[in-house]
Amino acid sequence: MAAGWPTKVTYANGDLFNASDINDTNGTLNYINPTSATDNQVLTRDAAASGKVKWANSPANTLTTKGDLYYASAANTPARLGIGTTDQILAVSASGVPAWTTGGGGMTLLASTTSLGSVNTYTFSSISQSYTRLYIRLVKIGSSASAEQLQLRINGVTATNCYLYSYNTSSTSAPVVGGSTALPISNGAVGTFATDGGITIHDYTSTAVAAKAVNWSVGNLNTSSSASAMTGIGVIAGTTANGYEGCGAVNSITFLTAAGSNFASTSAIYLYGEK
Amino acid sequence: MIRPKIGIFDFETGEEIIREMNDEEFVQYKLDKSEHELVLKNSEKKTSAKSALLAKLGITEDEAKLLLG
Repeated sequence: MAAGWPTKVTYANGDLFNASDINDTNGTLNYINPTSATDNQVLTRDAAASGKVKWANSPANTLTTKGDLYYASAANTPARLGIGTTDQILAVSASGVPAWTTGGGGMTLLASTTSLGSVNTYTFSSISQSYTRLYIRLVKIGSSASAEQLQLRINGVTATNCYLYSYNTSSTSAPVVGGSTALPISNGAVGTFATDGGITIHDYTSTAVAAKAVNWSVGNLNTSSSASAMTGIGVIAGTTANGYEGCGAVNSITFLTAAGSNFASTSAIYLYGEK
Repeated sequence: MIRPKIGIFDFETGEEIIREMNDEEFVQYKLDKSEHELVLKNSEKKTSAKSALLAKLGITEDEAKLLLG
């Protein structure tokens, strides 16, 4: 009888093979017992056992959980890597296998305005505290009124327990130093403003006794088409009376036009979180 | 009187709403407006005083800068 062929000669309905019924390529009697396998296992050649077949795990029973990734933990050794947590990225571990890790940087768009044209005040509220700093992109911020100014307010605070100090510089006017509960971002001396630029609020989740730095730069084009550039630095800070903690973590940011006119319909504000 | 509108993007609900200002917001709106008008008035006053002084001295702004520089 040739190796690998059943040694059994006659068959009846319902017959099962057993070890004595099959010989292998080496002439050794052998058999494959399905009851010794688990679901989704497959037959594979086993070099360590002189090329006999054996049951082995397949991708289907290695990947046990939604999101699992299939990789080699060593040569010819399939393994699963469970899915990471939200916003994690795939990196290479010190031992040379894939591993999930928290992203080292980059910005995520959190929200953008869709209809600034009908309002003079716009608030982003309940801002996520999962980032290290916030970046705000200003696009074509304009208004129909003259002598308008874009201002920023933190956490809706208008009382004196949270001050915004700014040093706003312009190529066309003298620097302005001031303390206010709304921080001027654009120069109030210009007419209808069309402002592009960005604002960064550093360490916005901190509740420690420290001032949070704010910096911005905007390009401004007024009604007479004269351009000016404005840069500013500012801080968000409490007062001595409340231990400088009046502001707390920044969870709400409001933009307003100081003279109260509506934003132009072309205006848009994008809020990003930066890791 | 029709009140100005306010826009809010609430991350808790993920929704943007545009509505009329409530009482508290409307009071703040008027306060902000009057505060800004005051800032502008003071700025105008300063500019007029500067022009008057330059006229009195009979020099231009650039000449004044040169003197102070």
